[in-house]
Amino acid sequence: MKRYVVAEFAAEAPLLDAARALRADGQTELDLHSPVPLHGSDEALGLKRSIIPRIALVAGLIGAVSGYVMQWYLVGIAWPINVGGRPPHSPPAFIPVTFELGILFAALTIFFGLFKLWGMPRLHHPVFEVEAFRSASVDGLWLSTAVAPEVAEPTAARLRSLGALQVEIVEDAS
Amino acid sequence: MTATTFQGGRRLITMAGAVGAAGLGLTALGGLADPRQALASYLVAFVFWLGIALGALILLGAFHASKARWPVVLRRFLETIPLTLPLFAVLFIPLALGMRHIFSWVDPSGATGELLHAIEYKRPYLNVPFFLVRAAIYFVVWIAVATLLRRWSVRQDTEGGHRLTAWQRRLGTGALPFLALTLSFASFDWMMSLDPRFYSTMFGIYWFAGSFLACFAVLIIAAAATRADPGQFGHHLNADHVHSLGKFLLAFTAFWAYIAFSQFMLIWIANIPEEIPWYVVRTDSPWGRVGIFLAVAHFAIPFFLLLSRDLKRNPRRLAAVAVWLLVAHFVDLHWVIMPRIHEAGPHFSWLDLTAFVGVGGVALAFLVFRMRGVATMPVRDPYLEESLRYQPQ
Amino acid sequence: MSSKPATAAIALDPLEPVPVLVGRPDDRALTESLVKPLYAPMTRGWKMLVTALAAGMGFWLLSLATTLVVGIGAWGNNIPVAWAFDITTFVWWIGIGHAGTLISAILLLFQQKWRTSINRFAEAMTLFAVAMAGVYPIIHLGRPWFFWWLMPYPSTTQLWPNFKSALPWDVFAISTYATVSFLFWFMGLIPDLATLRDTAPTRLKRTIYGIFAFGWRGSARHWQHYRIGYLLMAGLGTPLVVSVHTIVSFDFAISQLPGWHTTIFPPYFVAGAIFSGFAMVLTLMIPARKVLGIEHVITMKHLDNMAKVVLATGLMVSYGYAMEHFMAWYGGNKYEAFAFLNRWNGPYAAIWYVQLVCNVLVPQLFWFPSMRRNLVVLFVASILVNVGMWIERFTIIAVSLTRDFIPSSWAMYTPTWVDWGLLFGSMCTFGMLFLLFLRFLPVVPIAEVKELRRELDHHDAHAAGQPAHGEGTP
Repeated sequence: MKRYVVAEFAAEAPLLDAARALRADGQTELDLHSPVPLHGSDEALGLKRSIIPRIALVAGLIGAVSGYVMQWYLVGIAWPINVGGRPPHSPPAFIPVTFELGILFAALTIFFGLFKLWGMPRLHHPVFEVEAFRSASVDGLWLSTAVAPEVAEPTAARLRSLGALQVEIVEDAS
Repeated sequence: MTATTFQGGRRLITMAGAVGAAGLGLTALGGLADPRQALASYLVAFVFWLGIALGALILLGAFHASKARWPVVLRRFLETIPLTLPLFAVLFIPLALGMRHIFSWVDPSGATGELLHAIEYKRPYLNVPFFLVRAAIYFVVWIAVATLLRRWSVRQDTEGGHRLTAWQRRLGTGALPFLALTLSFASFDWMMSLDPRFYSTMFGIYWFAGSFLACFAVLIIAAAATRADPGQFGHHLNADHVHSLGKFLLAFTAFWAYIAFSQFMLIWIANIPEEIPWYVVRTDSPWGRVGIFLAVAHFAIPFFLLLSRDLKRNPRRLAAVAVWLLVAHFVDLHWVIMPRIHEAGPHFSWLDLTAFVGVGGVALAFLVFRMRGVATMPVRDPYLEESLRYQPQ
Repeated sequence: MSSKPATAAIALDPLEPVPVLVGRPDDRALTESLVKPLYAPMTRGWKMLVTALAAGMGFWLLSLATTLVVGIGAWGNNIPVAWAFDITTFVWWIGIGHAGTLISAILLLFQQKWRTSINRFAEAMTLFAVAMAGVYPIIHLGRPWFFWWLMPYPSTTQLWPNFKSALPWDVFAISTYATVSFLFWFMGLIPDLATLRDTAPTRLKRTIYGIFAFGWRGSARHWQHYRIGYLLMAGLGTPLVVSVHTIVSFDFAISQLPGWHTTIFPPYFVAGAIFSGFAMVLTLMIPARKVLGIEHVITMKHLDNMAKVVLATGLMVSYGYAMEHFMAWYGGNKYEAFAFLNRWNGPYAAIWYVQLVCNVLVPQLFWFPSMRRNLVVLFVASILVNVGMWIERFTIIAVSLTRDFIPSSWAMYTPTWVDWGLLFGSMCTFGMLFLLFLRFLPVVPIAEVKELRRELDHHDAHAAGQPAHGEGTP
């Protein structure tokens, strides 16, 4: 059973400094919570570049290629009907649907890919047990870290020494 | 602020001027032997380089209209490009003198059938005096706007303040509709009317799209080329400026493809007798391979390369893509104009090269010449500081 | 210039007299001012408006039911005028939708700060407009209950949609557009839904908002992906929005009908779409910002900028008219020339003049700053532009059809009450959806405005010559 240590800070600079300090201590399940994305949080937490652009590109290409092949097969081979004298395989006429399917696949992949990366939906997360944590979506700046039970108290003390306004320890019930 | 009054470039002026003069001279010599080929090659070169100057003028107007602050650092260079327009007015003279060799409507004695009918019908518009009057109007509008915008900008270097910024914004914005109309009709006159039967409402935008793209390519190349010179704007661009220019290059690569595809697809699919011959010549002959080359080289390759964020932030690699796009844009204009005299298929002539180098050389020499004697950046523009520390979120 | 004090540097820029955010409220004050309208009790005015619109919606449903029961014969359509109010209204609504995507996607890529406060509003408008638009092609099918025949699915008859026609392109374009607009809008909403979950006064509201927030906890690890994903969606939305109205224009332009076939249609339709869309945002925004008390976040600066976009796109539309007319003559095709003469002196000439006034003359007012900052002028002009753009589509679609190639097949078109019901009823339904949105979701993206405030602080600090990151100083 892990423990979540949740701490609120007054400003962005001490928050990011605390994150750097804990990361230097060797903490891995470290996170920051804020109503807006913070400058420098990626660097403070040592996050790698998001893979979203790459999977979106691949999905878009898959969508476009399958869209084109579908049209080619359906009206070029399976049902080659002559309308307006256009040849069965008419590349210029297939571009619009090819394009739309490329966009559609990429957009769906981004949206659902984000939820997958976020691990959401997850309506109950241990950090929500802290009543004051509500401010994280309004104006509060929070740090959370998941640690083994025996390290929880020392971590809380460390966070206090780093300037936290308040620190709480929550048990991970999941 | 290290931007100083520019006094260098003497060697570049001499070299570019010499190469340009040689190119023009050789083209003229070729014209004695084959005026048709020489004038068509010259027309391709003319609309290629003129398009860049007009693209720069429109971009400048658009920056003023949108009150953009980030490009202030590169604005002095941008506003100097259209100062070459008086040179193009002079370079138009050979076209005016030799127009009967390539514009079939000038002398319809050999024309028959539909072509003759079209020429006779369009006589009120397509006749030599009106053609020349229109060209004069275009150049007057362009030169007036370019000269005033740049004059006020240079005056601000000593005067400072906000007043001149406001003037430039007003003129830059108000000129845009006139620039759009003159550019469109110029494209109708100089390119579309080569085949008096053909018409397309999109044609002006088609020339604009390619030229605007080429203008961004030129900005990127100039920025990369002047990177090491602390007195030049290229040195002061940060990665975000380069990134923004790269994004514009990507956006207008896509825009060109959008316009080119829409025009082609609509004419191809409707298959109307007045319109379709223009594309039949350009697709159902060996010219079709050039068309496919354009789809790949003017769109697919640069588009996918420019999707990379790293590439857009790297001035040298971005400049390489920009050079590639300029080549593709030249091929595009060649494909639009040359089938007029070579219906059977692509035909390379050494005059294509001499005309291209000739017009480009003298234009470059003239551009650098006009850069001399003024600061390389708008040093007292109220937003220069902000532009220099440009860092979007 | 770096020695001026901060306030002077902000206030003294004579070229930017109107701020994009009034004051510099802190995060909590911003949140409170933006969520307040959602928790306040329903006002009488709101209820009365909903009731009135519900009546209009009833009219719409009645017209729809009549169409389903009687068939297309209940409309004024005939041969040759097979497309009339239905497709006109479809194109009109789709066009209105384009402003939302333009504001949220294209202006985001252009780093226009003023788009932040209005993007949610405009995107919601997009969604509802697209929902309205989608109805018309379907009810025009004749047997709308077979609408899925438009999709390529393996059927026992082994028939497939004809992908060489623009109508199946429409199906893909509109459904992709609706899907992507919704996903983009919802992505933007997630952090705000979390804010609502954490501030709502009642348990019921907390639970409902909480479910739709999907457990968002403002995690830096999530924000990292969120930001890049949001930008990518904007990047996809930009070509998408252009493609949608382009494909709508293909419905007409791939044909050979005079007045329909012209190559400039794609960009000209896109410009027209943005033109009418921004006008609609103005029409809705001017009263809404007042009623909701959010004039400090949606300032005159926003209205001023939107008026400029209306002017710019209005000029593009006028350019389109000019090119069409020039080519109608220059092209030398008699039918094409006649189609345009018919607009000036044909039986529908009266509405053509209204169109010219609304789309060409009215936007010219916005050259003048005083007009752009006059709420009454803005509001009236925005409505006129919408009227003008509806007429433009009617002129292109129906008026071109009334005069076919052969005079013996000419016919006039007169709408029936069902046609009018479908038009005005859809406006009421749209208004109703919009009122529900204003009531239950934050109109202004709260998280994004907080970011905007930070950017402005940053900018002010620079203008005052102070270090960029001043946070954490005692």
